Amino acid sequence: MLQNHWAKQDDIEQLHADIRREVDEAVEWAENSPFPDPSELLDNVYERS
Amino acid sequence: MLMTYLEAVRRGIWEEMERDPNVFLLGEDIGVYGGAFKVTAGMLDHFGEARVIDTPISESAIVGAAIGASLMGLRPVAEIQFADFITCAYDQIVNFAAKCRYRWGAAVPMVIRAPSGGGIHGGPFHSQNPEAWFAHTPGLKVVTPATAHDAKGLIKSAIRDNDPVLFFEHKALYRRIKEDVPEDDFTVPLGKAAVVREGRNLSIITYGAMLYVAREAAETLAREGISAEIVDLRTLVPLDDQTVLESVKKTSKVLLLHEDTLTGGMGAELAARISEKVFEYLDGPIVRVTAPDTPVPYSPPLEEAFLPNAAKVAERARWLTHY
Repeated sequence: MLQNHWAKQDDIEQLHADIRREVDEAVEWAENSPFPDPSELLDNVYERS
Repeated sequence: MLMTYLEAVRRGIWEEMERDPNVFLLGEDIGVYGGAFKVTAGMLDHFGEARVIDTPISESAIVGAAIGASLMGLRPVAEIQFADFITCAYDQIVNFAAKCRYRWGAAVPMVIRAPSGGGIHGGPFHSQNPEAWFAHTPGLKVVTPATAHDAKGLIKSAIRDNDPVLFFEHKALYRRIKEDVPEDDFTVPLGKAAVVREGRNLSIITYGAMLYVAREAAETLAREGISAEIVDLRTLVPLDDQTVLESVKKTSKVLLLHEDTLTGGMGAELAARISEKVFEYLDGPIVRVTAPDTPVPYSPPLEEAFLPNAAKVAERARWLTHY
């Protein structure tokens, strides 16, 4: 990508940083969320459960 | 000798490979790595790479190659790393292996081993119980051992059988179940259920990992004065009608228990057979305790709610007993 000038080194590093931040935020959100309630067991199998 | 369910499968395969040079193994990571669950550990070193073959990640190719080898006189034992992945080989199994004998008299003496079942927080693609998909297909045999003894005896029978056999090993039992298993060359016949607990008030018909749920429920019920008989099917195809029907005739009440989901599961087939053949012996409705009709949840509390357990079985058994 660098050889063909499709992206600069800074662009790639920025992309990595953005993805890492997004994943870290998602992990943090998931770990801070409560487990689902068993009443949700049948949800989302079809449009209307 | 004391051994785990996993070790029992391993010993059974090992013994058959020693006994018959036509038996060979193929699958993903079964050789150098010894298998995802280590069922084939040490086999590459002992039997060599002509008989323990690491394959590309293609279930269709694994089963297709196994069928071809079996048509040429070998006895392949193919491993599907997780039973869920078997869908990629569905066409080879259902439209080819299952129909070879019927269409042109060709035997396909192949075993497909597949670790199935939940309870390990594996989520929807590593926890399914696909036995009913194949039990519905004429031409296939379906085996679901619950004990280490039966795991060894049944894998040996499956390898010696001249029809394609789906062999579902419950992965939650691999290291949890440890029991005394004979070291000699014994087999457990395909198509023979076992009455593993005698009882008077109701029959619990089950297989695979649910045997242990049934046993736990039966212990609870016994303390309440309810006597539950337990039948372990061991093989789903051929299905041992006789043992099931004899138990139902004895107790007159039946609870069907499986970890697979409800609709179109083995419980439905069993209920129909019982109703057709011994209806007049029944003193209550046929009860099913199964997983509900959803994919297997990943989240621990949802998976716990999804899986049948001893409390759910005991509750339905009490209701049925007092019906």
